[in-house]
Amino acid sequence: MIMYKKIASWLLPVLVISLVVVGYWGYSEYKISNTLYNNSESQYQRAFYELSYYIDSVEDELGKSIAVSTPGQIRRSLANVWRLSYAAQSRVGQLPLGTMEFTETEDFIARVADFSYRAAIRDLDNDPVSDEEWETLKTLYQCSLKIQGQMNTLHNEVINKQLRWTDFELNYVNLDENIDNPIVKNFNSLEDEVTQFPEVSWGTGIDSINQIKQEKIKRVSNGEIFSEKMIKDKVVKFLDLEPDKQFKIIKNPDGGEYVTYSVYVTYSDENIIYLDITEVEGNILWLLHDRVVGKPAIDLQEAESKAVEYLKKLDVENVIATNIDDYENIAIISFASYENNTVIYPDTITVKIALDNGEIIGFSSIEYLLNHNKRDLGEIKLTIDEAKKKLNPKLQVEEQRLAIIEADDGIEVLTYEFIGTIDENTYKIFLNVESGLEEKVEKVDQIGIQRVFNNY
Amino acid sequence: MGKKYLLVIAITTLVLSIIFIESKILNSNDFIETFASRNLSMGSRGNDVAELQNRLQLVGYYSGNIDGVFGYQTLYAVRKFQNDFGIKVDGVVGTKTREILQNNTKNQANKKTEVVTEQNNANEHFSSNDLKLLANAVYGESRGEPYIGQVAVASVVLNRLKSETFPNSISGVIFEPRAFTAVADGQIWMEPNDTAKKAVQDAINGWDPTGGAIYYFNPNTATSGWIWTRPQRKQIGKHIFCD
Repeated sequence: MIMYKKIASWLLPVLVISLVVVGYWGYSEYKISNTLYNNSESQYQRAFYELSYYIDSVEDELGKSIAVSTPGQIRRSLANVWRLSYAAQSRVGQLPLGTMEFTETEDFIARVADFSYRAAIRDLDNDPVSDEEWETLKTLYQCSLKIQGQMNTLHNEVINKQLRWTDFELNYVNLDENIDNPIVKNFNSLEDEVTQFPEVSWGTGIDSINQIKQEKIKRVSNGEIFSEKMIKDKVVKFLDLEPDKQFKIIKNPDGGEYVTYSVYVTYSDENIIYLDITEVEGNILWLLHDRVVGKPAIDLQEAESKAVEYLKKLDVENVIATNIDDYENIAIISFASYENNTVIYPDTITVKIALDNGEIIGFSSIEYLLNHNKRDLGEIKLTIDEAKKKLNPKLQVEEQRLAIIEADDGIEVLTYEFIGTIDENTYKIFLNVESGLEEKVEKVDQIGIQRVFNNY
Repeated sequence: MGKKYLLVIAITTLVLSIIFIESKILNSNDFIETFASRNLSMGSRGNDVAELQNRLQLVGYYSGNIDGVFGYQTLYAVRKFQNDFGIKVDGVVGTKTREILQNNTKNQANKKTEVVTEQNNANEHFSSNDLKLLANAVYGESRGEPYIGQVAVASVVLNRLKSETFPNSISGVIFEPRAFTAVADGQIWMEPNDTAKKAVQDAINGWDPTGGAIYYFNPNTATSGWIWTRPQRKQIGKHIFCD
């Protein structure tokens, strides 16, 4: 008995002390997590408030744009629509919406941004807003009113019911099921509303880019369908595999635009060849040979001629190197078609060369396959000297040639390409051979992409 | 006895210091060796390019940064130099160009040129910090996956940049709430290994094993039913890639 009493006499204070310690620990943990909760909630609330604000302002500016008439005012309005819808887009990306269906609305906002940008940067003095575009603006205004209304309803509910975005994030892991939650409900009805928006004529822009994309896809999806056996034979022949070499071949689901097979040739864990090949015509889209590359033994010029030689195996001839870079014993060389003294930039094919023995350890020919075709482009109206006069006089021109590029709207144009310098910077400037307009200006940095990893 | 020890120590020290000095000399020889050996052309990188730039600067042909990257500015300087000195103008620094350049910078170019590393403007869209973040994400999301699966994860991030319904920067895409589990559980902050970095490099160089996918999920752990409704492109390792 005495012993128990003794134990109890010191056990009690121990228990009390540990209770106090645990209690204090629990309280401080609670305080920390509470602070973090509030921080995260304020970030979400801020993003949400700003989203509402930007959507309000887009509505406002679109409303103005249909009323103003001088080019300067129209430009100002449209530039604002573009800026504000872009900002709205970025706030959407800061909210915990996850996989909730919201793509229609996001897509719509993106199209509004794109449409207003294209109109705003245009020379509105000579090419004023057309009646069709005015109708589009009017429709967009009506649509933006509806989006604003729905956002407003949601915002009121969030305030009145004291909804917390952080709770929403923690409680609903799956947003695709039927959840009885005002946030989900309102976003869903917004999404429904947007799908019912009237057809809008977007002019050139996203639609034309999509149309061009479809034409490109036809180039790799029309032709003879290869059986798995034919694909296998082609791979064996192309990679020059030993007849008894086993490799893995998988037919991919046809979710994409064209059916492909994936091939894995494994020599060891650190020596694997991966490639994708199309079912139609058995074109190899890309290849990557993952292996250890030793010390460089060849220089870049040898690498380039090895790559050109290799490209013949892919039936790719008449190419010119447009970009050369080396890093960590590997050279990456991009080629473009070169016909009639013209560089055809869209026909790009990139080759990866191991500098230890000059072996080709990768290529990506998707762009080439999608773009390569017989072209018939506009006639040259400006001489190269006339075009040169249109350049910024401060540019010291070093090289000039003809080039086909894809302009902003995805359409190919024939241009004069000038490579020149201003002080320490190098620029590529593409002038339309018909109009002399600057189609594209690139600042060519000396520092390539791969270098960055040296700083690790 | 004591004297013998002393002698042994003295000899050892001498031998060691000779080896040490020798190796130092060898190292600096190595450096000159590289400049003397390989042909330099557009796209070359390294200390030998920095030395070339330094020498070209000394003779007044080059005014750009001594960055060890043979870019357009270096190319034009080499061409001008070749033209002025009656060498074949091909923009390639081979034996002849090198010899003439060395002769013209004999007493000046002995100092070792250090490559000034620049971090900014990694390419037209991405900074080196963005790429590091991408490597972190790839490592956090897919480090157990086959190499090609890691390239694919990097490609999904890059494909999202091009999509209208995703943010327009690498950081915006990666830190979008609920987008990546590695961000939510902090695994993104682990130091990425070389494989992840290599995968990022291949992805930004244009290899896209996914064929344009913007989502991927692990069929064994995916809790969302919605993700199964997306058109699937392919499975690599544990991940299914879809639109």
